[in-house]
Amino acid sequence: MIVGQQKKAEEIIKMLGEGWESLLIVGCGTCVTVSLAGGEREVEALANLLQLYYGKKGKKVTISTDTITRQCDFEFIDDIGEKIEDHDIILSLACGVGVQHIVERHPQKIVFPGLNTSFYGATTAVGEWVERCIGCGECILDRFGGVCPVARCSKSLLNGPCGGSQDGKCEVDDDIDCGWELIFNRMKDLDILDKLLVFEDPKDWQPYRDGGPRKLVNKEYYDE
Amino acid sequence: MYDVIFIGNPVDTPSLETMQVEPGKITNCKGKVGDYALRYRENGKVKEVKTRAIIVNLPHQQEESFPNLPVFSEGLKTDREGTLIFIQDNEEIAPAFVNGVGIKKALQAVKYNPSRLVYYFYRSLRFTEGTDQLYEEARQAGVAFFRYEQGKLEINPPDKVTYTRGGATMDVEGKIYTAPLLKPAPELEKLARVLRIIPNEDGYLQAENVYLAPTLTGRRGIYAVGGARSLNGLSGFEEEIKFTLEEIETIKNNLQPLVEDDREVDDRKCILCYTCFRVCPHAALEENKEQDAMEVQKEACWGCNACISHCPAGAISIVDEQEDEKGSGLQVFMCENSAATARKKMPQEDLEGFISREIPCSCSIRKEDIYASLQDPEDRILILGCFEESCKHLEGDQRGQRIVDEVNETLASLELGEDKVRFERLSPPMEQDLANLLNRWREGQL
Repeated sequence: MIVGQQKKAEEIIKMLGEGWESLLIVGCGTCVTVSLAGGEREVEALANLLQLYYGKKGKKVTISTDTITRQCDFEFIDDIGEKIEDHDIILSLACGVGVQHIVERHPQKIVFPGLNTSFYGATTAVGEWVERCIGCGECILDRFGGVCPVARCSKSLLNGPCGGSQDGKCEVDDDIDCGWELIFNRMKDLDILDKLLVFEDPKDWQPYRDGGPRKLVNKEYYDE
Repeated sequence: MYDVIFIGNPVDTPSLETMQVEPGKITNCKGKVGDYALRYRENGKVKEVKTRAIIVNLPHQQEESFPNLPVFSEGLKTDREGTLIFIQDNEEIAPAFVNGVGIKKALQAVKYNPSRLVYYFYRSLRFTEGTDQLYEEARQAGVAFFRYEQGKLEINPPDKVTYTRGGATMDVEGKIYTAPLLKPAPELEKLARVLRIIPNEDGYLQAENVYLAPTLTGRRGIYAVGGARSLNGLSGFEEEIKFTLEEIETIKNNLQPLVEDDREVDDRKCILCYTCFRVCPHAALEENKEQDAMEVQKEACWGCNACISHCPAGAISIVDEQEDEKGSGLQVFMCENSAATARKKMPQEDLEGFISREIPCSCSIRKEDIYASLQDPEDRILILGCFEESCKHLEGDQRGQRIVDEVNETLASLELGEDKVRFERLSPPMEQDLANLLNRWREGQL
């Protein structure tokens, strides 16, 4: 899922600026609810905090809240379309996809992001997530024992580790496991180390961001 | 339906239907006290059995304290002549179990042959009722006990030690036996995960907590005995088993919930994020596949409300609960297991001027409620939780502390006051401390 982290309140307040009277905070009920950053509870907490802040400043504002199932689908956005139109500013607690989807539906509205969209991650403990995939557009996990060298090696190396790995840790940060040590150990355990002897050609990065913003069409459902 | 499944070693108990499963074969454990579904793998097939309760009974893993010197728990050589030297060199306080085994062997050796010399060198001893007696008996029978500081006993395998105390040294020669180092059985790590039990720091299944004596774990109906329970898990094994089997008889004949209120998950709001599943210290939440939502299993619930306060979708609530009006002024939230108990013994006048509220655990507070209750300039909130290892919900005090820390960090960053919200810890007999705390807080002196 997409893992997000709520922006600091200071940054949000600075972003909101002056010259508005009504604010709608919109939560997203899928990924960022699971990653405890932009669901109903976070929306309420942020609304109460902002109310407290503007109250102390003597600024009269109306702060409303709503949380929809997914901000990345117009159908859910349309459910609160009138509410969006009735407020001066929209603060979206969805990932960047959700923020822009509201913008596309409501081109006249000012829509701000309340989160930093962090990465595609897995939950390792309550309140802890780790990156496992960068969405490169061409999965190669079959050739690396199910451990991704693109996402898990800091340098995305495809033909073995760099010289900076020490005691299983990456030279970029001691908290990061060396992706290549993980790959090697797992393939050794599975007795398929010989697969690593095949030279990997340079990766074609076009299916990733380097080919420009991506679009996907499922022809069974959609004919361009 | 079995009454109890033993994971590890079974214990004879004629009045209960029992079964035994090897610890390494357990793959999954669902359900709740009185109705567990335990899955395990046997002959390549996955089997499921139903049981009312589970007892994990595994021995400690024992290792040599010194290379090439035998450990005394493995038995002594049968020769009955010559000097015997016992060394108990555990780094931490030696578990009562080790004392019991070591002293007993030393005593036996002297009894067989009263003329032989038996030395018992130890860094620390820890006594229970049984080992206290044993120690006295061994001393009277002639076992010579010597306490030593680290580094003050030089050991020269295979048979020589030099003991130093003050300015004096003593050389002793004889057959050396050492106390084993005890470690949790290797299966316990996976068992803790599969059985959803919060282990202690050493990796045993019973967390350090005043509410978990003698064999309880944080999950109702699952018991840890012997070497599965803790480092000291063998000192009162018979009593532990007796208590546990009596508990299971009660589960079998008269299982009652621990809480009165029902906690309900709104299946339209639940997104199956499993946050409640992960924060519940008692493993009371489980997915209801038919409802496509989580479910609070009433018999397993201890009533801390961690699930309610942590649900990111606001999907869990207490059925028919009246919502408290948002307070204002000086508000005190007291955990029902510590400060609220102390409050009952405190003069009522000391409480004047406060709005106080009893909460099931400090982890039940929510940041959104805190912000909502701070809207007037005079509003301040004091949250009173339990001391570490005294929290009935194992980690509730730490969760409460973290919520308050995060709130304070945010309030400080916006210059909304650094002393608006406080978290303090108390225990039930601290009514005087509570009165002092409230007075100081009222005066803004905390």
